[in-house]
Amino acid sequence: MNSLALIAAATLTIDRKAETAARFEALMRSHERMVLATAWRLLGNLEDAKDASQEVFLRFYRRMGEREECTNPAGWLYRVTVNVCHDHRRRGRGETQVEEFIEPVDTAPDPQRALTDSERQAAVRMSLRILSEKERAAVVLRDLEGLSTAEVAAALGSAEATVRSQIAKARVKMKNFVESYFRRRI
Amino acid sequence: MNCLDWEERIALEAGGDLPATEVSAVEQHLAACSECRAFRDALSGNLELLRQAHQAPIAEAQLAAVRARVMAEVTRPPRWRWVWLGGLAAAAVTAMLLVALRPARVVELPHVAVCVPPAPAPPVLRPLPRGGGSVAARFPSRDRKGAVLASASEPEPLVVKMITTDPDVVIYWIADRTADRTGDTDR
Repeated sequence: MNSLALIAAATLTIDRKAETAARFEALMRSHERMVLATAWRLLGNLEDAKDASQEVFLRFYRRMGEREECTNPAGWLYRVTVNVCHDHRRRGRGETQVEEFIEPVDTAPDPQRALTDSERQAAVRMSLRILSEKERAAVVLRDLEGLSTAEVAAALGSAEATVRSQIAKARVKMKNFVESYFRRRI
Repeated sequence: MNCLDWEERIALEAGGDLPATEVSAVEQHLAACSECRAFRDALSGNLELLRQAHQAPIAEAQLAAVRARVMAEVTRPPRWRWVWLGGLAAAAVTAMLLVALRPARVVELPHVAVCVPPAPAPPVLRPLPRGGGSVAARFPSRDRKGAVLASASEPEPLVVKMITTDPDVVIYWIADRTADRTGDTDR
């Protein structure tokens, strides 16, 4: 291979890498909010969620480099986000005490009612923490991300019936937690 | 039928996840059971609260921070390149050190065989003439003596033949000793 051919091959490689990086950045921009929000909801901590989000996108980039066709990037990203957050929690990095979600904006005219709503929202956010890993992932993907049960099942690698059962149990557990929380307060 | 048996289906109904085949049965039960209706309403309210609690938008700065971290990783040269460069640098340094610290080169001297020509024959003393002779004849003067010994002590050049390891190279070292003798005489 002469030197001109080598230079041409090197230029082509650089062009491909630049093209992949540009394509990746575009995909990242269109999915970053979804991934970070999901990670935040699963981990309950923004800094951990940012770390998890970074890990998810780096895995995504490596996958693009392997030239694997990705027909459903959102589905893939949800699945990997759940797995990465699961790993985070297993390593003890994503264990949160009480969530530090953004304070809701009070729009209610009655301050007493506004306080109650705020407290209820805090209690509901905390109720996510009492769920098992799978239940939480199912609720976050179904009730907060708005995926269908079939999509949740695909993301979690479970059967649809299993996901439905997990979602039902999780909803009942959360309702009971919030009610007992307020009973203790009263 | 116990209401506990309906709990899971009502929880699914509250979020719109009940399979179509079961919807009518659950709706019939709800229409007949006020406790289960309250249960369904509480679940629905809780779900609404959960959605509200997570509606807060994520700040653009947080997204940009993650994006910057990821893109920095993505555009960074791969680690193996640094390993290669480090290896090359280490090899270059090692080579330089070896050159700088290696011992002085031992020059192998040529294998020299010295061949000294045979020593000159001892001086031949000729008998003096009989019957005395003059004192001068019996005790030859210094000049005469010198003349007598002249043939024996005539300096021949010293030839040293050096044979090297290379069969094509033979070194002859020829030393003219006349000057040495002259020097001795002058002293």
